Amino acid sequence: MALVSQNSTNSNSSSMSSEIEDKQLEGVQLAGDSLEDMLNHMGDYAPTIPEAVTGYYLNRAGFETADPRLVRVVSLAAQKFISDIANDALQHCRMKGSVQTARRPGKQDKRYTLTMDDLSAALSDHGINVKKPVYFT
Amino acid sequence: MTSTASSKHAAAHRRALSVAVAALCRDAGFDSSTESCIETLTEIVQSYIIEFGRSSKSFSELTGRTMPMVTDVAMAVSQMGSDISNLREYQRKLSRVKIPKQEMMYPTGTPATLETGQRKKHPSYVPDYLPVFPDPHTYIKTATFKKLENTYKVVRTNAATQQRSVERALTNFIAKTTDSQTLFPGDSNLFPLIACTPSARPYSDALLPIDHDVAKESSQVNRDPVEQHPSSHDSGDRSGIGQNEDDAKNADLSSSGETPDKNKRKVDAVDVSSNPYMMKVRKPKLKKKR
Repeated sequence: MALVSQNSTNSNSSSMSSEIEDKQLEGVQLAGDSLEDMLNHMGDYAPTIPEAVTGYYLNRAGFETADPRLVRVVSLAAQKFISDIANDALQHCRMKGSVQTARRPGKQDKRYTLTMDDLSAALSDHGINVKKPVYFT
Repeated sequence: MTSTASSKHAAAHRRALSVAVAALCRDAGFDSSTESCIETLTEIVQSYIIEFGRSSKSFSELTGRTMPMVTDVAMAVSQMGSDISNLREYQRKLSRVKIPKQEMMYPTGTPATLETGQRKKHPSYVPDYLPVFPDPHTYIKTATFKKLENTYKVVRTNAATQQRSVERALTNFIAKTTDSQTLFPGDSNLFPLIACTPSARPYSDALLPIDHDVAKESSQVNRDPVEQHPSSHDSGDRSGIGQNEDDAKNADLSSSGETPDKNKRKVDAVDVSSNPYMMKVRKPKLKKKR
């Protein structure tokens, strides 16, 4: 991933100089290409995190851009991050088996509740350690 | 801008972020969650975005640019531990799955304050960034009553009209309550005149000298009727209770003793006994409870 990224300083891949490099990197998809692609597809959908919100937080960090698609990329990345954590937490939840089922004739909807236990387990896999006090005094 | 405004701003964004996080959890498959979980995730996302912005900004500055490019963002993604290729797949997956669009609640604007008038514009020497002038009603005072006119003419006219109306009202009252003579033979109510009661000895006033004290007459309210006690007449001495009432009435009728005393005194004598409206007030006797 890092190798591919280093070559992406020149985002326009058509201006690659030597053929040798082309042959070497044939199998590898250049980050520049994929990014161009992604940017073009950005207009297809709107991210769940509103643009205004991500823009606000990026401004706080000093990130200012004329291209709104970059903001969408950032919000997409954040979204993916959260979805990954949520999916991991769901896996944990399913494994534990403590599920409240609403019993109906024929249909049974399994309801999953996100608890701190599942979440902290999922987060620890990503390297974030969360410890909440058991009770508040 | 005060600190409260910026904190409100931040709080609003924070809330929007929590909503988005909750939507993502829902899409992952959860039906409900604890509040602390959502709070934790919101905090994580906020830090993530800020860190993202900071690192992509650093990458752009590293190459001597001020505004980050897509490549800087890609570098930041890898720095954060995510995969760019995975990102693309994720995006593709998202575009297929219909994410329910969360309706953002826009805060209701502050209700427009009542404007009572046009606000004064800034004079030329006042900079624009200073606040506008307040509503004119806050600093302009207008009297709510009409000023009384103190011109001589107006005051005299008012005094004269008042006096005339008082005289008319009182004469009408007396005419309606006591005996009246009619000016026109047919209609008795049209112009009622107070009936003259001729005295028994009309020449007595002309023959007998009346000791007039001019100073006392003008100032004093109490005046005695002549025909009742002709022998010992002094305008200041006797003052019965019944006479007090009549004299008070006389004072009201004439402002400065214009009407002749004779008629007045005769009217006094009549009024005391006959007019039921002018009789002395008698309080009802309270029965003693046994």
